[in-house]
Amino acid sequence: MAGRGKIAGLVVLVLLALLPLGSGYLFSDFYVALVLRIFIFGILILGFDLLAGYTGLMSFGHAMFFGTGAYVAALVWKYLTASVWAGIFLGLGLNTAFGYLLALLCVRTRTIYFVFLTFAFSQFFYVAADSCRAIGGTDGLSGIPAPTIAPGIALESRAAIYYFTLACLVLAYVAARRIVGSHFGRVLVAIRQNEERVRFLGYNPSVLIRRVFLISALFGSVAGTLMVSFQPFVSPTYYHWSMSGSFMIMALLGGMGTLVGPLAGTAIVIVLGDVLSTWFKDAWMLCLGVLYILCVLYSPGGIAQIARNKTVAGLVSRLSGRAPERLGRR
Amino acid sequence: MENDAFRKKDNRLTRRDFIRAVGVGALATGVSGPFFTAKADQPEIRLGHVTNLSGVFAEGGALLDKGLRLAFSMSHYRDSVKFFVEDSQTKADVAVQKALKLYEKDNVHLLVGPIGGHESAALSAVLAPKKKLLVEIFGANSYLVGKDCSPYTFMLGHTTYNLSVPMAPWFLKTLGNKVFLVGADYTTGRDAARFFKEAFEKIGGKVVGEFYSPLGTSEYAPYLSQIRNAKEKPNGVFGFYGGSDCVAFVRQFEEFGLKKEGFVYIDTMIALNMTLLPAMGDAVVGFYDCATTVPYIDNPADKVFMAAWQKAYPNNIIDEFGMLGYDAGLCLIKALDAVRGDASNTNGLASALHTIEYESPRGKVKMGVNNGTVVPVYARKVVKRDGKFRHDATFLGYHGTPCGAPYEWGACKLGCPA
Amino acid sequence: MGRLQAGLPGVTVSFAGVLANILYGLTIGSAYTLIAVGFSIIFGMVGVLNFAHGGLVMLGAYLGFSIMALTGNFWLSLALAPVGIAALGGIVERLLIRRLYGRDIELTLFLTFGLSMVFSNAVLLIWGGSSCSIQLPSYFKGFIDLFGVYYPKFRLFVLFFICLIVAVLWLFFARSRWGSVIRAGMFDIETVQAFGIDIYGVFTILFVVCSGLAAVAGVFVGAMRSLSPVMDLDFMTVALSVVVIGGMGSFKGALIGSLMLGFAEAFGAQVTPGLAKFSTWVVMVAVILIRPKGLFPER
Repeated sequence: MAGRGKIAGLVVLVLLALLPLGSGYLFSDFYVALVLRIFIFGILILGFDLLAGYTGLMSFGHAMFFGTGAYVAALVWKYLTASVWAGIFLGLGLNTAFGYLLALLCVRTRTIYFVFLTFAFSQFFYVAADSCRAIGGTDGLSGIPAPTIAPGIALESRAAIYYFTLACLVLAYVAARRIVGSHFGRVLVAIRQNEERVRFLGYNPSVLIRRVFLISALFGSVAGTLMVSFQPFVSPTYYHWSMSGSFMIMALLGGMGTLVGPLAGTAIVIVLGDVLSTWFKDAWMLCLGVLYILCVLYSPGGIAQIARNKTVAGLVSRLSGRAPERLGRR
Repeated sequence: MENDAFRKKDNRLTRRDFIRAVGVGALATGVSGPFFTAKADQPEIRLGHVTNLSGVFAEGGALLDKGLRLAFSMSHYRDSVKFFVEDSQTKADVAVQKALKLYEKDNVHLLVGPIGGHESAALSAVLAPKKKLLVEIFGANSYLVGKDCSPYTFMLGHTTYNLSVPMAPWFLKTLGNKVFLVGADYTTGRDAARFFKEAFEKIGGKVVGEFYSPLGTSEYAPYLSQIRNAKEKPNGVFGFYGGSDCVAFVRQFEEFGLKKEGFVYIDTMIALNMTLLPAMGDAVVGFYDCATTVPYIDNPADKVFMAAWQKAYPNNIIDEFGMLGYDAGLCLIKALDAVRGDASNTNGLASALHTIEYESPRGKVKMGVNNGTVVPVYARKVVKRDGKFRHDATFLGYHGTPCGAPYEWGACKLGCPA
Repeated sequence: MGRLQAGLPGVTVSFAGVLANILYGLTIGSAYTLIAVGFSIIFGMVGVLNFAHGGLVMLGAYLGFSIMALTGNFWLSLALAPVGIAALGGIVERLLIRRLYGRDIELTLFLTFGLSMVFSNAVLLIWGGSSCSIQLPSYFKGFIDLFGVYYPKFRLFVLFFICLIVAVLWLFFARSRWGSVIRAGMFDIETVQAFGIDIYGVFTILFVVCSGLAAVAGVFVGAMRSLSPVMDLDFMTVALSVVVIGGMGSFKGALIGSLMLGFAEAFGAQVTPGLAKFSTWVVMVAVILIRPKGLFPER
């Protein structure tokens, strides 16, 4: 069973790796950009799923990690050094600090209060970025140079950024998969199901939650950094709660708690957004909204649940490593 | 319990099938799309327009587009031009995304940019290194004719410099020597105030106070009281608020009694435009703004424009956005003539635009240094005649971008003497 | 009534100035109250995080604008727009939200998020992107001199009207039988149902009433400021912030939270103009750190 999943995964990976080669001949570079966008948000959504899908803590503030990763990268690459590693690691560092602070506060709160807390803090960052003219204010920062992987080798071309991001996504997925399959991952699911019981079993849920929160933050941070390498521009809208909301939608659409589901959800949201805005110039948002509503009403478990019934389901459940009955939310 | 809910749905497969079908259909289109929009040869002119169809400055986007189309429909390119319009939502990151989409997916030859100054800066920073043309009608960011200039970015309409510096001597002569500065707290608002302040203080004026509110603010009451409490009473309040901000500001300016106490508001960047005036109501009568064009101005090119506009868009009033879109269209048509209609000749278009001169309802417009136009500037007063809003305009001369002036413009040498 | 020279240029502190800010805070806060109360009640009592609430306020404002443009009668706007939006709220509840009772909260989140996109785009399609405003009849124009502060007549009216609504709502929830039924339903739906009360019917009525309140807020806001198809985002931000500060499902919390936000905005704009937006968020974060559940949580 697991073997079939692995082969399918490898096939997908190879296809994705070949994608940029078709650019310019089979299709325009724009589609490489679209898939790149899916990768970037996919990394963040993986982290989000660990926190929300597996541990059951719905974060309404993931834009905070995304935005901080983006701003740090922008500032580092513009004013300090163009090294992509400096951008990534400084972003990770700052996000670790914020994530840890926030995690300390959030261990007191659960469910809806966790939503509010994360909302409040991410809005705080939004307003701070909007008001602070030293880091661009409402205008944000533009004119950011392309980052370099090694002195002299810059991530300039779309293809280079694509492969770098794909590598990061693969790493992120493998890491997430290992966390989910590990003892730590199983305890997280247990926390989601019944925290009291976990405490009686001798674990300290607060510490574990803090850990997964940090991991989730780091995924978001890397995503933000990669976003800036792709689009050399940051603005406070990266921190806005509507950004957090769209992350939630991507995860929910795909079916949380499956890792693969949210990735699919990300892909669908981004592709749909583009397809619909081409078909319905002015009314695409209305159509997308209607589709979301229909999806909730008729398939609350998300795409993963839709897929569950037919042969695609077998593939999805095998990729996610869990039996079909355990897919979807609690 | 979740499983129960799930099992109950087993007999509703038909609806789920529908959603799957839609989803698969959409994905299929999305995936197959690229194969159908692959590059083909383009004898046509593909004109991209990223503009503000929603957001703070949304009143202008659709009208700019209409003006552009009108100009082309009256030209010999009417059958070969194809328009691609995208909404930037007055957000810089969305503008960049849409611009790249237009260039890469729709293969446009040149792009007309959005209204927001912050959007145009982001766009130019992304497009210029790729050597893609960007033509801005609004988006009046002075840095784009300064240190961030590019041979591929052109400011057709105006810049914050052109529409604030000439107001300083006018203000001194017409209103007095004390000003209170206001504005939206982003690049355009801040720059307009800064340029005005420096020009004003140089000729003996005095700034008695200033404040800048975040873009998109709708409650100005706490700010307005600062004007009243300024250490000296200003002869006028100068600064940039645009779109929905402007409507709220002007209404509250009157509502909280400042207008009655004799305070006068002077906006800039064509903010008090015909489209917005009805929303402000009588509160705006007697206020001023600064613009490069006046509706119903008396010149032959404008008469042609007005007749054509009223025929093509009988439901739209004559306004500045439509006129400026038309003006930009005239400019682009002349540039296309210089490359004999071959819009894919980017460098040819760029050099044509660099030295372009054309006749428009605004007057005789020519491209000046640093790829910014030299334009007529007017101080306009909003009046009401026979129940209709009109502008009484004072001509302040032709203004362009100076060479080697401060504000790091020395860094750009496009057309400046070495 | 001495005048103090604050360190900031052009800003002096005086009794009139402080009074002015208090009045502005009340003005801003009262509009927020109407928006937040509806959101908070639905959230606390029905358990639905209604992301489309900002959209309802916006639709109320635009509907009021159209009615005003058509009839020229402000009172008609004030009366009919809430009726229309209340009906819309009831339809939304019956057709859509009712299907999700008893399920995870994330589903209603998802649904209302989609609904907010529908509302926002619908406004853009129907009314266009250009900014507009509800014009006031002449008897509302002008201002009154209150202890040296010029306060617009219309805003006094708004303040008075909202106080009336708040008083009626308060009495209803605190004193009336149905008020206690609703408050009980918030804690334990099954027991209330065991008493033979159709709690789901009550929920529909709650939705209707709260949507109506949202529309009233929309009409007032549309008359005091400007309308744009993206204004629902700002209202949503306000509603969420007030619930964070004031506590979930609490009427008192919504009221106090709105006023706190209003005052923070008014004083923040004066004292630290560059950090105007910041002041509201400082308040929010401060409250969360001290009392994560908000100031007056119902549960």
